[in-house]
Amino acid sequence: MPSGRAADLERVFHAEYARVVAIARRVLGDASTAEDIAQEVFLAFARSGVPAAAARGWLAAASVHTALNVVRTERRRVEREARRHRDPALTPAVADRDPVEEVLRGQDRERVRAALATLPRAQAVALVLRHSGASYIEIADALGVSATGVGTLLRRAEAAVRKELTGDAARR
Amino acid sequence: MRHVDEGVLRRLLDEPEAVDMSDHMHLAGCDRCAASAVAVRGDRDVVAAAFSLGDDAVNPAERSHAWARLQTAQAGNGAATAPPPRPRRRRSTGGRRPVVGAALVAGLLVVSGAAVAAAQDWLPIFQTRAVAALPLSAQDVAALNQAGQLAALSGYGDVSGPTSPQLVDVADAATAERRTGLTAPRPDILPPGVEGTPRYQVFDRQTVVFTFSAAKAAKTVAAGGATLPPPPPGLDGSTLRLQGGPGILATWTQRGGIPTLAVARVSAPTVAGDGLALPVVQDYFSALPGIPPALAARLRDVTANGTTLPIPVRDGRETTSSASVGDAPATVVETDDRATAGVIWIARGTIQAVAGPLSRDEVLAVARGLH
Repeated sequence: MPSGRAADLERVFHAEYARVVAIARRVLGDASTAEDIAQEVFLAFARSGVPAAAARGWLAAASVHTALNVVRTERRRVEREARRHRDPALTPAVADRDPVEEVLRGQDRERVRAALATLPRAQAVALVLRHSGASYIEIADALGVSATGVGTLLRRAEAAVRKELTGDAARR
Repeated sequence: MRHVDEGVLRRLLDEPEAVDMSDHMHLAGCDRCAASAVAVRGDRDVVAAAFSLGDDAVNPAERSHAWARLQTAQAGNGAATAPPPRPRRRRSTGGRRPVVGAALVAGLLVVSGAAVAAAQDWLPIFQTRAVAALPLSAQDVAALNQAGQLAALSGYGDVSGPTSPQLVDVADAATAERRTGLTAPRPDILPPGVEGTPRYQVFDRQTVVFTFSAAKAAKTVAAGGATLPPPPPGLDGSTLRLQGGPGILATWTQRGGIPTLAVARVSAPTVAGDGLALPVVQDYFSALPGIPPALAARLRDVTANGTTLPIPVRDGRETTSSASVGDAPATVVETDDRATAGVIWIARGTIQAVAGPLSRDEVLAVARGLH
């Protein structure tokens, strides 16, 4: 029989895994990487000693922060590569893209990622958590701000992301 | 004049009950803030649609595999042991574009009392106008209470009963019928891009009792910087009993949970007073500060015979037209960008609604083939 902590981990994992993956997917737009991040987050949770009662908020915040770190690191790498090759359109290769999905979804995903990479961290976290179903109180707890302040963060973030989306669309 | 902060406007979309009544009232009478609210909603809708592109539910097999992978990683301290291979995920084959105009779907459903259905998306539309546009006309109040708009109503009196209908998932159409006594809506045909088995949800008959309080109303109105007109004799302490439902909602979605078609069938709401004539109540609330007189007059016209259910339509964003479904007259609502359409009609004592990111012809075809 698993110990109390192990039992907590299993229960928390089955209750929260899908949500943790979904949060990372919203940031990354890629299921496989999101699943890898979920593994990383749950391993960190297992080592953390965070009580099960606080797991939901902790996992959500860890997922969004870890995924944002990946996006920002990747963006910096792409920018370095682009400078090296003097090709501003250079983007990371993705081997197995489905053409239909690419047309319908890929371009918007890239723009969302680009916007998330440049937003102030608190705005990006609020945005991802809210669009993953977190309440204002939950977001406020994750960020250490007031619930009222969450509305302001969301408003600014959504205006910036929309600008990124529609601005790119206009340039096509 | 102090305008409503954009952060507050943003929260109104998600958690209207958490926003001060004074902000609700200000918004109801301020064109500038109303325009800002439209912009805030527009940005939110665009971002929500973009984020929905990355959504894809984890199935139980994937979760079990991930759990095994985590245990392996823990046992090997996360380094030496290679994790089992990840199962191959399904690929998308496209489908209908996400519903940026999902508000209309919801708008129709709120009228039919099946409001909680589609999403939190559309509720704020009515929240922002709850005091201004829907001042206790009989059916409006019932519909709004069904939609969980009691945060607004409670500013004018005491409200008892459920604050929102509890939509409950049921296994299938037959179960929905047993729970409600209604016939579950079954379309003959589905538009292109709408496929699969619908999700059936039901809600039971809801009863809400509203007791008008002149003291509460005066406080609410004063918070908005205005003065409550003297209530007519007998109104203070009078009671309205609002009933709606039961109802069935069938929703088809594409992967990621984006609705592609919603069909609702709901018993028509009713309102009963405890002695005061409804027109007296309606006239009084129509005259409250913050309610545009022209809008109040239109509401009075629409509901004059006490049997017509008004359909909220947002000026400049939606248009309506007439049609027929079987022998019943029907109202079709389309968003001005033609991204979303819905049709609503009453047949055999129930409100019926069909809506989705579809064309006018498509929703009418579904409606006309509905069993």
